[in-house]
Amino acid sequence: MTPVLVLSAVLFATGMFGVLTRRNAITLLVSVEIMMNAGNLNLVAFSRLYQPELMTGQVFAIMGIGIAASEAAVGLALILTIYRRYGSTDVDRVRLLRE
Amino acid sequence: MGGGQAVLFVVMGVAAAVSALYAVLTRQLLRSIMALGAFLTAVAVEFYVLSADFVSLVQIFVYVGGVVVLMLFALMLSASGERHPMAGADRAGLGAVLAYLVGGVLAVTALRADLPEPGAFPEQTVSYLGRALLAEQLFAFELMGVILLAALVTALVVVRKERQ
Repeated sequence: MTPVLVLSAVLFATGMFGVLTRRNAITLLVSVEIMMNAGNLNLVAFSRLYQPELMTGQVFAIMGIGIAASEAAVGLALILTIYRRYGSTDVDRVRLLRE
Repeated sequence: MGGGQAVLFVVMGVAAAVSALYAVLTRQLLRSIMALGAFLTAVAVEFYVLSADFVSLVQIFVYVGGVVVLMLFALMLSASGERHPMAGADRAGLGAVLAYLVGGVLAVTALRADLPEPGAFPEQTVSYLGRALLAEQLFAFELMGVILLAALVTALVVVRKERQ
């Protein structure tokens, strides 16, 4: 299972790189989805190792996928609202609370 | 994992890593979202190799069929074909160092961990998952439905045009 965990670490780092460097809200959401998938990969891998009959890890992964879907819906609604207000989806231009 | 499955795992792992990197690096949002779709499909195959056939199907239905299409609609309704540059070189470099430092720590921890060998695993997971979701974890399952409903209502309220 170690190769799965290493792959998951690489994917997580890639997503985190995107979150830290990109400034467009949609790309940020894409990066967050990559990170969540890395986590789900770990859960499924551990499901093979611990309590295989109960499928605990896979149940966690299904819940994670559901949560990610609702997160994407709310996030994209927020992005559309931001676009209507600022004419851009660049998160650096949103500074309502800073001023 | 047998020989063929190991090959499939490596090929799809490389595909997932490359498409994830492309999704993060490209300056065009449409390409980024399409690369995310390829990444999610590759991860779905990885789930299948890890004998999680139902999770793999859910991944394709919900992510590739739902989230990616939702993102395409959001892109259609918001941005034009403008290019979106990366942050400045200093911030990009700092972000890369920080992110891959965290990834390196995770990978080293995984390599040093003392994991048990994977034992026998059910050939078909659906019946086990059905029992787990609808009997043992029923409360969490129903709660997820409530969360999905709340998220849908929230999205509608947030995106609704305010009356003047």
